[in-house]
Amino acid sequence: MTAFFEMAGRGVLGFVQYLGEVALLSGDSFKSLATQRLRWKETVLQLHAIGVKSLPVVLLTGAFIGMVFAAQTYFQFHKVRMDTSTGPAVSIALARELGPIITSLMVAGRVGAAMAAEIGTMRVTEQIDALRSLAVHPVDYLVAPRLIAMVISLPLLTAMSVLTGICCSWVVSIEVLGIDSAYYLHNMYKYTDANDINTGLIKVFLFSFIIVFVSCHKGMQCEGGAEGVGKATTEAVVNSSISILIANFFATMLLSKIIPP
Amino acid sequence: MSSQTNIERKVGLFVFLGILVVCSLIIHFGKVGDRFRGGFPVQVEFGNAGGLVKGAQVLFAGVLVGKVDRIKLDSENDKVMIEVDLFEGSGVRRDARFMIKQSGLLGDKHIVILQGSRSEPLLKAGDRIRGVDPFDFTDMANQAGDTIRELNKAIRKLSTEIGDKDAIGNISKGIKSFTELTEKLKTNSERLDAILRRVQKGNGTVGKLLTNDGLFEEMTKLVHNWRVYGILHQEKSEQRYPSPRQTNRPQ
Repeated sequence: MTAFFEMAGRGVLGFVQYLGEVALLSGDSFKSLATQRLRWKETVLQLHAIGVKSLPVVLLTGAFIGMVFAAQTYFQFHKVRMDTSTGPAVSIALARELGPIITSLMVAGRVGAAMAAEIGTMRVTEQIDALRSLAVHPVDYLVAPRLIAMVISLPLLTAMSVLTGICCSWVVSIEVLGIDSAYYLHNMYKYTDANDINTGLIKVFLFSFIIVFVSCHKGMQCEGGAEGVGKATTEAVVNSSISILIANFFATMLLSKIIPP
Repeated sequence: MSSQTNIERKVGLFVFLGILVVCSLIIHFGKVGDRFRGGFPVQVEFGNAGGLVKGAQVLFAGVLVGKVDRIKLDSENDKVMIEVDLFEGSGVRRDARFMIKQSGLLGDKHIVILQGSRSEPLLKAGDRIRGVDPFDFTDMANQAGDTIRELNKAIRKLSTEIGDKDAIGNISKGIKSFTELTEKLKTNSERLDAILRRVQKGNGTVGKLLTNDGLFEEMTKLVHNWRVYGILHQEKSEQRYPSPRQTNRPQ
C-alpha cells in the first residue's frame, strides 16, 4: 500500500518537475529572443530542416486526409441527398482541426525526433558543455533558432496542407464521387469563413511552442549514451504528440469563445 | 552556387509560397472581394429575426443582392434592427417587402425581397423600412393549443349537460314545443296565402282599395279636405277651395 502511494507521489512530483523544467526552458528561450541577437544562419538552416524538408510529407498527408475525409463525408451525406455539403464539411474540418493536428503530429514525429536526437547527442558527447566553455549559451545557439524556425514554418506548412487537402478532396468529389462542382464550390465558399483558417493557424502557433520546448528539453536532459539518445527521441515524439492533442482540446474550447464558429 | 545559398533560396521560396497560400486562403474564405463590391446599408425593422445570422444572403428575384451586415436588438421598441448591405444597382424600391425565409434541410435563413411599385423611389443608403415578420410555427401551435383547450371544455360541458336527465327532459319538451309552433305557423301561413290571393284579385275591402282608381281619388280628396278644414267641416269645399284635380273630380 505504501509502495503504491510512493509510486503515485513520485509520478506526480516527476510530472511537476518536468513541467517546471519545460517552463524554465521556455522562459530562457523567450529571454534569449528578447535579449540576444538572433542567429540568422542557424535559423535559416532550421527553416530548411523544419519547413522545406517537411513539405513533401505534410502535403502528402494533407492530400490523402482531404480525399478520404471527402469520401467518408459523401457516403454519409449522400443518404440524405446532401452531396454538395461535402465541400464545406471538408474545408471547415481541414482548416479547423485535421490540418493543424495532422501537420503538427507529422512535424512532431519528423522534426521533434530530430531535435531531441541532435541535442541529445550533443549533450552525451559534451558538446553543450563545450558551448558553455566558449561563452555561448546553449539556449541561444540551439533552442532560439529552432523556436523561430518552427513558429514560422508550422503555420505555413499547415496552410499548404489545408489547401492541398481541399484541392484533392475537390478532385475526388467531382471526378470520382460525381458531385456537382458548381454547388460544391459555392457551398464551400458560403460556409467556410476566414475565422476557420485563423483558428487553425492560432492553434499551430501554440503547437509549434509545444514541439520545440518538449523536444529540446528531452534532448537537453538526455543521459546515458546512445541508448539515452534513443529514449529521449522516443519520449520527445510521444510527449509532444500527447501534449498537442491535449492542448488542441483546450485551444478549441477557448477559441470557440473568442472566435465563435 | 554554394550549398548555403541554395538552402537560402529554397527557404525563401518556401516562406514566399507559404505566405501566399495563407493570404489566399484568408482572402478567399474571408470574402474580402465582397467588401470591395460597393454597397449601401439599409436598416430593416423586424419583430422577430427568426434565427437570422450575420452574413446571411439577401435575395431579390432569386438573385443575390446583398448580405446581412448586423443584427441589433432594439429593446426600447421591442424590435430587431437588421442592417442589410445591398449591392449597388440592386434596384430595390422603397415599398419593397423584406421577408425572412428558410431554405434547405438545415433550415438556413435568408432575406427575400418582393419588389414594390414602380412609382416609388429606389432605396438609398441609410433608409429605414419595416420588414414582414416571419411566420412563427410556435405561436401558431400555441394559439391552436388554446383553441383546442377551449373546444375540449365546451365538449366536456355539453356531454355533462346531455348526460343530465332533467336536461334531456327539457330538450324533449323544447323539441315538442318547436314542432307545435311549426304546425301553427304552417296553418296560419295557409290562411294568409288565401287572404293575399283575394287581395291580389281585388276582392274584399282591402283588395278594392288597392285596385279601384275611383276609390283612390275619393280617398285623396278626403285627405285633402281633412288637411284644409279639419275632420268636422260643413261648407262645400269645392266652391272655396278647388280640389287639386278638378278635371277628374267625381260628379
